[in-house]
Amino acid sequence: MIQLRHISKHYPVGFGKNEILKDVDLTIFEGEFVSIMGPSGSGKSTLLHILGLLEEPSSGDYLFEGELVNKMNEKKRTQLHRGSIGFVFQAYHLIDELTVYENIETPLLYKNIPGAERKSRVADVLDRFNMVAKKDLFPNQLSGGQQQLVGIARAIVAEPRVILADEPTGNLHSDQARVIMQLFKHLNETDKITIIQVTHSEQNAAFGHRVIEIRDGKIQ
Amino acid sequence: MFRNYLKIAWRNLWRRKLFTVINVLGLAVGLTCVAFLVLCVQQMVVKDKFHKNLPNLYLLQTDSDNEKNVFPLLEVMLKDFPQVVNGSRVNHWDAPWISYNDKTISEEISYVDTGFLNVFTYPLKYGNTATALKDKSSIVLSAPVAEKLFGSQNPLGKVVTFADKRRFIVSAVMQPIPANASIQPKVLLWNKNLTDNKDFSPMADWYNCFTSSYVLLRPGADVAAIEKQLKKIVATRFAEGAKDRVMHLLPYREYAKKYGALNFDFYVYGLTCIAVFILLLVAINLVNLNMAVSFTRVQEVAVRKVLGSGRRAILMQFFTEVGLMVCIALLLAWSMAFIMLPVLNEQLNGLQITAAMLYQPSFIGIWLLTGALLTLVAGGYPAAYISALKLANAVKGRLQAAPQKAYLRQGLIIAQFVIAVVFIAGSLIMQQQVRYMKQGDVRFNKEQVLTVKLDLDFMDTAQARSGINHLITQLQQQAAVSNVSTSQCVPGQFWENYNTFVADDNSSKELGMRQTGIDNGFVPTYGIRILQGRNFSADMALDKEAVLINETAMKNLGWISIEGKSIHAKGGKESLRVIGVTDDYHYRSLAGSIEPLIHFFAGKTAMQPSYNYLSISIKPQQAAPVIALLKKAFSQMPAYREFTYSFADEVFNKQYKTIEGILTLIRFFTIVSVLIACAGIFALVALAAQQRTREIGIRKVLGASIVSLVSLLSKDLLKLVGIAILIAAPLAWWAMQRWLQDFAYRITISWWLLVGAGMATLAIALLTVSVQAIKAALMNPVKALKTE
Repeated sequence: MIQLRHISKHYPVGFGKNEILKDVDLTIFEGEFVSIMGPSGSGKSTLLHILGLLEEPSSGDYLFEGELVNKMNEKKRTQLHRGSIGFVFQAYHLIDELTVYENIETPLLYKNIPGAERKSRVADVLDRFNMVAKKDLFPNQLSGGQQQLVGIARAIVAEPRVILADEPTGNLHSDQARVIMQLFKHLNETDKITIIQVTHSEQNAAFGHRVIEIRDGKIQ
Repeated sequence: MFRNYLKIAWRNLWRRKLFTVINVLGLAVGLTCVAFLVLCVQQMVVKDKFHKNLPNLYLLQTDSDNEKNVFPLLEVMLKDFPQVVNGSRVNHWDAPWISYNDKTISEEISYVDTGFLNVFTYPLKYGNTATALKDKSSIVLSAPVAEKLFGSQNPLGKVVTFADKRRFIVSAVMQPIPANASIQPKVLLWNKNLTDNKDFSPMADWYNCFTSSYVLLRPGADVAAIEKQLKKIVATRFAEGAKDRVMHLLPYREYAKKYGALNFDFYVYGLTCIAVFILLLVAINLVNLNMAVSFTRVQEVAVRKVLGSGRRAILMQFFTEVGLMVCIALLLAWSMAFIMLPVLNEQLNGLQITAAMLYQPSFIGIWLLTGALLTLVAGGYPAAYISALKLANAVKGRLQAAPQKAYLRQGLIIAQFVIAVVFIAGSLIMQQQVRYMKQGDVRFNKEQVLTVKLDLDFMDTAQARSGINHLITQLQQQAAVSNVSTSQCVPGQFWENYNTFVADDNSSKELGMRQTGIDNGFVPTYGIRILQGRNFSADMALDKEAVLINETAMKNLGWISIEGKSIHAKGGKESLRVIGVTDDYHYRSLAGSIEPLIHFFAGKTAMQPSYNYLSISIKPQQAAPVIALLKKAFSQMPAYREFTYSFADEVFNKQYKTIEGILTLIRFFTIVSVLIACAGIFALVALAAQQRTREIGIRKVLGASIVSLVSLLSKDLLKLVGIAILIAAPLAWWAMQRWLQDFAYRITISWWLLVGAGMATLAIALLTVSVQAIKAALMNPVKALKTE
């Protein structure tokens, strides 16, 4: 499903350059649950950003479902964001001005899904996450774990093929973290959503099928 | 989708209440000003389009710049020129008192030809065009005159009486004429009434140029051919001395621009400029504040993009927010304009801006266009900037190269304050100039002189003459009165009456001089110094051909002494002895220079024809008995006009009314511009304080003093204000220097005035900024740190 070939990424620093990723080759199959691990500064977040089309590699090819991503224009990328990729952030990144319901609804709005269907899909997700009672609250009225649940709900409501999670439990305590990870596992097993997460925690990684160790920009 | 945009926009505005209120109020105040300016300009742009014949209507112009013409020409044209379909002359001769029952008003008469209402298609309220001016006894009234005399009733067939016992039958009433039409006749009478007048008929020759002639040409007429034909008429018919004149046909469409009473371009362009400036000020605020806010929303935008939002959706989001704000402001400004209309009309009497003008499609169109433009400008930049952000950084809330992006914002703040400082300095300098002129030494006694107008249109002229002469004798005997004078003019009200004089010596030097008539009391009453020779004596026989000139006139004639000098009017034969030289007293406002002046003598102090003023110099603090005496005397002489008196300084200072009006206007715009600029920086500081809450908290915990925190927040903005002052000061100096060139007597712009304007601006800015900064600095640091 996802294929990286000779991906490198570097930033200019002064007269030289700071290499973050060096010649990374990686293949991720549909339905996998992959954890990317490594120490701080090893390049794991950059790798995830490249996978999520937030950043462009300096060189190398990225194929998403057999299509070359680095040749895509802005419009096509937006299409991928709309339909195929869901994001979960460490800091949740909910939109403060919107209620829980509206936050979850937003991706559907961008997908131009008609109102009735939108309603039912958001209702489904709320139901599934046991958050119906909280749908009219604003993010700052929720605890961190609840906010991350909304973040995940928002990521899956558009029925993506892949969820990219950047330390999804980094700001949560262990009980909340377990709930989130179980949710991921469930999504992976029953909904067949491919999940790629960046994490520091061995425990979290244990929920997945495969661990990719990254160190100094290279996959070990 | 749009409902979603609107909802989010509303919540965003609601969340940043202070920011929104400042933005909307600033916008609304600015837009209210703009609305008024637009209405004023709309009123001033002359509308002659209602004349159906406009395309074929021409003014008969003498040479290139004289709108008047000889009286008999039009008659000949109507008879001999096949291309001329119709035409009418308009003459102004008198403004008699017109009575109906107990109502009496004075109105200027327009003497016209029978074709007038066919040439100028003023719609009629009563009567019909064909019969309106059919004979000598017909009178056509304008709507306001008819209302004054007859109220709301139909006056057709009613008889009005003139003060000189002439009687006329009302044959038609015109509909109200647009306030900005070029010609606004009040009362129409047939020209025959003039030509039968013994005083008028000798003037109506082929030399005197005083008639306005308008001709209606056949569609497609050859103007050049007509002008050629006119050349022949000038050669054959015109009087000697007038044969070099060249007749032109000026399209009536261009009439207003060339001969309009108002300095059209000055006002229209001036007001438009101010409107654009104010619009600029509010637009800058809008751009700046939105940009500042948008920096706090980088992350939100990034998240939206990750969720699949296209660029367009984000742009729409921003535009909706700004658009919503602009809409609220437009509505608010519209209502404020509506409410304040009566106040404005009071200030600008004559323009007559009506509430209906606020509804008219052209105004609404301008209004919506302004709103769209503001939205586009204010929403556009931040939206374009933010929607193009690099995602990976933006998600983390980081901006690329944010400091550089602030250049535009800083530039805009500077621009705003440059405008504000120029306004402040300009109004201060203007005020100084006005005060200088009002307090300047006019070289005559203006504090202790009482003036009374004598042209009151007395009902019994003979009785009034003896009454006033008796009054003069009474006044002269009063202990409180030191001198009495009757004269044609008083300082500040001199007529534009010039003539050319020739020196009766070898030089035969010619000099154009303003001329006026005085008595022997004028010089002592006004305390004018005599530099050489003497004042007129009371003896008419002695001073019949004597004149007084002012010092400038003597110098311009090249004389050092007037010993044995005399002059004569060019073309005249009578030699005039120059018996004295007066000091250069200011007979007109200090805006103009003192021109050569000649005084004629009409005899000792008494009621004289065309001597319109009685001046009385009174000893200090003794005016009351004199005024009582005047009131009593005038109450015994019935007149159409009311008896009024005023002190000479009031009369003189009336000349500064226009400039004082402009000054009031400028002061108002100064306040508005300063307010808007301050609202801008106020909101920016508030926003900065909000964004840097955490930083301030940490600094406080680390031991920062309040002063250092306040300076941290306000330093950068005040620096910008400082730069603005440095730019504005020379700009204001240059602009006002040019403005002052129009004044003969002017102040020199002192550096401290510019510094003062700068300091005032800085002080206002400091106050604005520090209120917010101190509030932020005083906050409990624990609270600040908790918010993150």
